Amino acid sequence: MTYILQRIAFSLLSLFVLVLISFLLSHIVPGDPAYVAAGPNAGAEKIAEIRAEMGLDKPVATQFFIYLGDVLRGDFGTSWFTHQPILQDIAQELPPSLELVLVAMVINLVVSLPVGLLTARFNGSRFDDLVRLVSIAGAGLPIFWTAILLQQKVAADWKLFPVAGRLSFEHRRFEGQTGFTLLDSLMQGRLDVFFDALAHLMLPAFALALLFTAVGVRITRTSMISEFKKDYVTLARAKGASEGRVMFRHVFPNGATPALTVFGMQFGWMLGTTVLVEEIFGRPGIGRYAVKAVTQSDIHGVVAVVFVVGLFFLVANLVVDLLLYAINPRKHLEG
Amino acid sequence: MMTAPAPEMTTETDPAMTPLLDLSDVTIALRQNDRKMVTGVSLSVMPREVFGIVGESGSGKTLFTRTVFGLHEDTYLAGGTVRFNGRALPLNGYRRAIKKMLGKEIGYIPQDPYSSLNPSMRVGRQLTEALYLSKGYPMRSQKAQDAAVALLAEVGIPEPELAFRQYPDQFSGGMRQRIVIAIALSQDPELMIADEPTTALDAFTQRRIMDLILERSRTRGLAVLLISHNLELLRQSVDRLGVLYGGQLLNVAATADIGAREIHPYTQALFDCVPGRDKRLADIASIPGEPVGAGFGTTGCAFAGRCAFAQDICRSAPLVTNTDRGTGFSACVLGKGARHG
Repeated sequence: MTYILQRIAFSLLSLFVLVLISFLLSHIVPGDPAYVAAGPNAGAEKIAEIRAEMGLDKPVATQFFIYLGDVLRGDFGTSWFTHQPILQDIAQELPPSLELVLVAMVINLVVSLPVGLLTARFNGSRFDDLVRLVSIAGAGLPIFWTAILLQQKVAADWKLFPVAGRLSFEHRRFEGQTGFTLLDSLMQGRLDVFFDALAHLMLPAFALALLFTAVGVRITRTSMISEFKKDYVTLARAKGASEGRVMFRHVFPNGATPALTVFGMQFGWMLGTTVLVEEIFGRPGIGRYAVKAVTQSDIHGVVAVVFVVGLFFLVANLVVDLLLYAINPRKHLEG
Repeated sequence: MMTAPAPEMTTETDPAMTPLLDLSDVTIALRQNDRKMVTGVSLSVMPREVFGIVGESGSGKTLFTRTVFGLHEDTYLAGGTVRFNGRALPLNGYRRAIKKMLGKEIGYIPQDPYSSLNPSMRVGRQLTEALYLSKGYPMRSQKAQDAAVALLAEVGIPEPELAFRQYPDQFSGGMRQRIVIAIALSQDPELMIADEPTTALDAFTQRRIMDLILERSRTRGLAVLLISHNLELLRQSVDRLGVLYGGQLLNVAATADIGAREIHPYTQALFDCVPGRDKRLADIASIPGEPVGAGFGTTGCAFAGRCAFAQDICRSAPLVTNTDRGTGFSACVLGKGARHG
């Protein structure tokens, strides 16, 4: 119990640091925000008025606490190019990105965990060598390049998957309560929309997952190898346990624990990496929103995206840690 | 040819009875480069016998044990015959054949109790799994649970019902080794292999764990193969002792013979190194020279380079092996320690 409270307190502290960093980010950007906000034709008087309106004439500490209060209320300001509250924009753009990241994460886990376990079991075999080669190559490919290649070959030339977008033209009016198309279509019993959305997700999710999976396989392998060397594996074999039982009942639960911590972090990294994939595949999402915000010099939009990605990073890590605690409370009490 | 043996020949102390484990000219090689690490080992363990294998670090004793019992992946049985209860195991597919006997006829206690229990599995489950694997008790059944709790009580775990639900790291090293022993006992083996079972424990706990192993195996009528480098512990615990050096079996001696009659010069040298209450520091010997690692081969005696009695023939004569597997054996070509009569 103490551990859970400690862990939550740590997350809150990290959140505070995150707010501080995002605040500094919006203040160290060169150029006077009031000047930019006022537009090119504004006079000095107008700029001063806007500066007072934005609170920029107050001391930095005061500004920070005002900012902190705003963030806690979910007020990130108004976007300069959508003219909507940024929170509303984010709420709209986040579900497609999360959907992409979740599908990519599923691909990552479904490949990394079994392949990592098997390469550890057959450490040094041809199979292990082959997987090592593929994962080093996979980790070295830039995501934007993989994405473009997949789009060109698999989608445009071979026509196996849609080239871009989130849904096909005929489903463009599909609406749901949660904003997660996969979930909404299932809730409404629209299997055609579900499979259409899934087809649109496959290539972007694969492009996004490749790098993370390459790393995931290696991390899983390393932590599984160290488990295979432990005496409890020898004892399990001496008890007459089959190799399958040794791998899945004994080695896997122990070796997956350190790997899960990395997967938790990968979730946050993935959300930050959606920028590249969403832009190429023309998918709505928080990454594409960030690109727009940057090109429009909408500093509040950028800060909000940074904050939200950071928030998900913290939440994913907290969830993983609490999950590990739930699986094995003892480990954390000693360590 | 004689037909069936006379009835009085089958008493349990009779040397003519079938050995439980019988190794003949066993050679173990590395899978990687076929290098022969342990050569020409012949020995037999009788039912209910406590047999010790002693050797310095690197002598090949753990390699030997783990390979013979199918627990080593990097090595294989390159030659010789292994018989269990008179039945010879095939050399081809040896590992698969011996692994089928693990958890049934053969129980195993690994070296380090701190890592030999699965840290994320409750103690009870590790026991019920063993019961399921050897006897087919369903793991969640009351029958398995009762048997597991009874075993924990048998090895001296206080509050066995509580221990059943606890994780391994809630126990001390000695308690963990008791749990490991309970797991091995749960499968009712005929032969229990204890691979340095007390090395990781303090001196007091060592004695208690060793006594537990001996007492339990006597009560249950098991044979024990005890691997150790702790000479005093072995001398106090085992009936006979096999001495490995450089991957060669140099000596099989009854512990009663040690200090009482001539044994192999290497074994003698080892026991001269043991400090004792009646020895002064200056009297404690050490063996000159550097120890030879496993894989010495079959030409010459591995100990010849350090032996006080060594002659030219010791370096060139082929290794003497324990072909008749009587009560005692010495590989010394000079005949030192060989039993006459």
